[in-house]
Amino acid sequence: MAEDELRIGVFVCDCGLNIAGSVDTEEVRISAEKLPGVVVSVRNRYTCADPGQAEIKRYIKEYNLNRVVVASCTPRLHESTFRKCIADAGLNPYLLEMTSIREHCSWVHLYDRESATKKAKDIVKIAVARARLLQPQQEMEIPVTDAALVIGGGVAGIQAALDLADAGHQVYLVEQKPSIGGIMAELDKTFPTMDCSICVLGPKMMDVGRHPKIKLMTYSTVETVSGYVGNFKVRIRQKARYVDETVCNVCGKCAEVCPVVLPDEFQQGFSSRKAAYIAFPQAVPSAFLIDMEHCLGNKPVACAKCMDACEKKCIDLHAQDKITEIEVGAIIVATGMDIYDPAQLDEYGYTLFENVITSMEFERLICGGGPTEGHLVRPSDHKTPKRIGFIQCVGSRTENRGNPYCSNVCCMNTVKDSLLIKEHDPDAEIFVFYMDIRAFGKGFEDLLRRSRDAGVRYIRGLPGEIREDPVTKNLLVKVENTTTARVEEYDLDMVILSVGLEPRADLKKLTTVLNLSQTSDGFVMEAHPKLRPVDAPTPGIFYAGCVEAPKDIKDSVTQAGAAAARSSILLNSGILKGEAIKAIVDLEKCNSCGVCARVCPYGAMKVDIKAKTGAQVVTAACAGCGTCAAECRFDAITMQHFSDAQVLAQIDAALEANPEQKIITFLCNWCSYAASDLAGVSRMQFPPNNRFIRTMCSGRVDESFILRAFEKGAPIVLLSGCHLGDCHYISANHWTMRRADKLWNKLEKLGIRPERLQLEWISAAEGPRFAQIMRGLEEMRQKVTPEEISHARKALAEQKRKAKEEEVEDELSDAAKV
Amino acid sequence: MKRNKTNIVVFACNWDGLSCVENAAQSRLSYPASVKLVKVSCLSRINSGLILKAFELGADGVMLLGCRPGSCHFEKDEKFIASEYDKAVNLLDLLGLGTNRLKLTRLARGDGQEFVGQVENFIEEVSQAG
Amino acid sequence: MTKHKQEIKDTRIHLCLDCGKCTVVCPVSRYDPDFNPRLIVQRNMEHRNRNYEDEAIWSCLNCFMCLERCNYRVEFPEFIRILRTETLDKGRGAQCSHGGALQSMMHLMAGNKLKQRRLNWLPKDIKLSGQYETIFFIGCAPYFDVMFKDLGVNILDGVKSALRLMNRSHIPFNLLADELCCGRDLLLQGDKEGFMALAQANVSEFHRLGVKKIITSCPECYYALKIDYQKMLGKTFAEVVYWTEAVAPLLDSGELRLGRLKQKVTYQDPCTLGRGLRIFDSPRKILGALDGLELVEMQPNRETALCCGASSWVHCGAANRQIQDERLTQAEATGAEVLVTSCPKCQIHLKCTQQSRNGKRPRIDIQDLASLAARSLDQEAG
Repeated sequence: MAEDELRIGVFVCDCGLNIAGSVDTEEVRISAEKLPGVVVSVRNRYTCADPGQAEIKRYIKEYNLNRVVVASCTPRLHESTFRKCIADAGLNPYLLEMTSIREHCSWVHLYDRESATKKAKDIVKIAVARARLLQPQQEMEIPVTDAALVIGGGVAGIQAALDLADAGHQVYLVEQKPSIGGIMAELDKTFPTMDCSICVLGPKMMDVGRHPKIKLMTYSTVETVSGYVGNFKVRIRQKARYVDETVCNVCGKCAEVCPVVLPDEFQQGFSSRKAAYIAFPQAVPSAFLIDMEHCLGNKPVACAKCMDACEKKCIDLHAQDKITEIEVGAIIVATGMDIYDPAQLDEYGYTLFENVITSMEFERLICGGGPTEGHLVRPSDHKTPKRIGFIQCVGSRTENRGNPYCSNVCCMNTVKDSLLIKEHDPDAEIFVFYMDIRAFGKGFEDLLRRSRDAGVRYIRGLPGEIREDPVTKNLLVKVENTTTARVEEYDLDMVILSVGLEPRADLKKLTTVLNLSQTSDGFVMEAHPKLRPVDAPTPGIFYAGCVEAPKDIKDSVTQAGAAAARSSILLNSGILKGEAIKAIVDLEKCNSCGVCARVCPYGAMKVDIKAKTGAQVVTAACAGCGTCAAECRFDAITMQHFSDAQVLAQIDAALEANPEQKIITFLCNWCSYAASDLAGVSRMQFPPNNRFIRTMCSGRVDESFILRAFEKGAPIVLLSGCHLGDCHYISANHWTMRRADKLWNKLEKLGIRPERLQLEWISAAEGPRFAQIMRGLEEMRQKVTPEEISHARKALAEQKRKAKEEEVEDELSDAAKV
Repeated sequence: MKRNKTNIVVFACNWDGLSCVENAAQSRLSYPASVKLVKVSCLSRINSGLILKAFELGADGVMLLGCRPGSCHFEKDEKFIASEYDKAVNLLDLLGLGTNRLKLTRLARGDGQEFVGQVENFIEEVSQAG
Repeated sequence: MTKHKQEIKDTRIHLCLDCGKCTVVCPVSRYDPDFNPRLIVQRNMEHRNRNYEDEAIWSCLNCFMCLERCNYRVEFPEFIRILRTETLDKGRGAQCSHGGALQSMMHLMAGNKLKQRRLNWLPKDIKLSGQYETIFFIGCAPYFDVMFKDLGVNILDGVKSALRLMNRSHIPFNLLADELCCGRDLLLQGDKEGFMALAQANVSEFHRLGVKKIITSCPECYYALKIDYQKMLGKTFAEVVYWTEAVAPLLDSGELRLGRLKQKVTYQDPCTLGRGLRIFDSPRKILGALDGLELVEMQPNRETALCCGASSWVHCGAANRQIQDERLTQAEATGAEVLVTSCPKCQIHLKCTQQSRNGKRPRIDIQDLASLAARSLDQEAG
């Protein structure tokens, strides 16, 4: 819009006495009138209230305003209110600039009316400078595909799929193994109810298999995912089963004749299966398959006994993998976990001593469907063990071989196991060696009580070593009973290591495909640990079950329901509206270098470095952090609604008069700006020399912004954002940090003291710290000499001039070449 | 180092060794006050640790005053001389303190005269070593 | 008491989960039921403001076995050291074995500007380089040979052998005439002042002569120079290398060849070198390079090797003797003819127990690694 066409209206709010009490709002109003482009400046008592809003609408009509500036409280509170207000009056809601003269001014400078008023005038000036460059924006409307993908067919995946399907959505359930069921299918009983695990899971599995709205793809993996929330395109590979599952009647004749014998993973290797096998009797889909990796071969066909034996003739040894492409609106990740392998703990002798087993191995031994039909025998001599020990926290709660976290389920699992043994053999002597027994859930303490009541001994202390008697193969477990402070040795028939849970070893593959982050424990990271526990930071992706953290069946099922509900909200909405803060690429300037794609935390930039076709923005996935724009060396990326020009205009306006008095502070919308608001609300006082400039993310702050500030005479610049690891845009603030590092070097080379650029990570809760930092900055500012400031201004101006000259030279030489 | 400030520790065995010291006292023989006496029941009680401790605490010289060979009340001292005394001498040598700071004096019962003479000589030697 | 607050925090003692694994694996605890590392932690975490004196702290061997198994690798030996230091700060005397002879010797070395006569054993065939850029730190070897002569200990033989191997490997080095004891034993005993006196004197000497690299064959000196000096003096001053780490790569590349030695041996991993500094392989590499040598490992070995029962000349009681007995039994069970040690303390303590165990006829010969390797050179491989 041409300069003379701008008609800006400024609305200064008294906010009762909240602002007017310490700032002369009339003075501010008058000063605003003089700013270029402002046609009217108004003062309200309570701008956000109905009368105030009505007034705004009136002025828009009367004065034909095309930009509105509201100087009142924090935009984080009422930006949407005023956007709606001006939209009602016919203006595009993005033509509003709202700035805080309350949290940022009146409340933090309560006792210095003159300075506060001066600062408020400046704040309005900065706001008007931005308002002049605001453009109308359209919010994107994204259609949503009404279908969901559930990755993982354990109890969490099953529950999520059923909930979504029952709600009427089409569900694709992809499971890597030949059957759904996951770990729960391998358990004997569940705590605290002592329900038979497969008995309660089986019906759910059958429901999944039968459900008209669930397309079950087993023996399948997700290969690629492209697209964005509401519009994911997924490529799935279904491995060849070599058996037609729709025809197979599980007669089992193929397995009878198959010559290849392998350890049965479902039975933890205690018994065997054939290359032609069914995962377990209750498998869904209920069909056999051929394990081609171990089959004698199909190129050429070496054996074919299975084919001959099959009554239904449903074996095809030349079947191929099938690739399917589907479109879904939401994805639920429910891929579960792995069990810790305790072989590295040499003091416990797992795999060296036959009678030391893991809790998973125990489940199969005690299960009626297991290799011993539920008769508990010990591996070395198949005798019934009479003295059994459980060792807790194996591979958990340690930084020394294992994982640092608590695996949640092992305590209760052992309590349950102890009761199972007592059921089978009331005379068995059972010892549980523990550090803490975590029986926090509903019914858990009761189960523990039952276990103790049955005579199970709980010894507080973790064994330091196990030795094996070479003749009896008994285990001599040495432990300090910390209650009596005596070292005791227990002669046991069998020791069960209560192993912890770990993230899946192949999780990296999935997180890469889906662009997910992992926490320091290796599990996937949720958007917010308290308020958004089943959402991935990437919109449209949700979590259920142990993929997110170790948990028991109840919590997995609960989480699955939550994930299904949230997916349902997404899928039901039909269309999605996104805030119009997006990146736009100028293809003329773009060099296809790929840096923007590398730094984008959402994978929303696609660049073909070889083809050099320019960067493509996946607009729906773009979250608007602005890191790409800041990192782009060719200035090819513009952030809508937070453009370079707007920020530079704000800097120029702030430093136009008396720059040496002002500290330019960049605040990120989610953390440091919130901290500044909190400082204001708490009425923390600090000197009035700061001028705040808001960006959505600290990653947005371009090097040129900071250098501009120094060029225009700022003594100190503060760059602030969320704490590392807490960035609202996942990882964008890591780039901020690197940029700061580079800048410090640059400043030093230019002869500018690097400490004049400060970097602080401030969380939204750190109001008092924010005020303290402001005070510290003022102290620093007072130590900056006029000579330093003028030197910096000259050095930077000189650098700019040189850069321009080189640019001109380049253009000339390019022209000469033509 | 001043002559009358040369710190000497004399480990005297309770039998023949002490008798020499007592005889010197009865005979009104004098020797510097910086000579300190430590009574032990037999010289074999003394190990290298005690000797070195004396030096650590500030002794300039250590004298072991005991009985003649064959006269030991407990019949123990030959073994001591063979090992601990030897050890102490070698350690002092290694440390650079000098082997002449440790003196083994074996006297007949009640020989106060000889005792004082030996002490004076010892002080002379030690203070010259610096 | 608050003086050591940060030091105690740094040991991570507050992370102790109270699980008791340390008590089970501690060798002292095995033989002395009154020594319980877990309880020492519990008793001493908060009692320090009262006049509580925990006698048990003097029995710790500093063998690092507790740390090896602990979930949080809590630095229990360091915690013991701090407790001992606090006890000494209160004015109590330290507990000393051998009548305090070694402590007095170390104090005397630091105090009096003495000119030690510590290099008289140096044979003429060992070549020293002209400058002091690289030195070989001898440690208290000459003193040990005097103190423990009656045990038949010959530490200097090991030192001479190591020096000859250095010459053979063309690794230049010099020796310091005014080298002082590294001070580690005083530090571990709680005598921080005594340690600092020795350490500062040593480091000034290193600076004065321009020392850039230090090689040593004593694991305790190695630990002191590499870790303790930097931690306590707050700065690095030279590169510190254990002699087998300097020699092993030359065996790999073929630049150094050792000779023939047809014997069956077993190897004692010194606690400080093994669990403390994770050097397990290079000594074994040297043994492996001896033609005809058969190495049989004791059970346990490497990370779980049993300590030789030495403390820092602090405590020697029945438990120590029993530990040494156990280790000798483990050594004899391998059927080896020689028990190879790579640490003066291991040699001294195992030989001491051997005397009272088998009398005049020991069932296994205890020898130093460097001595063994050097002897092989007398019989060159074909």
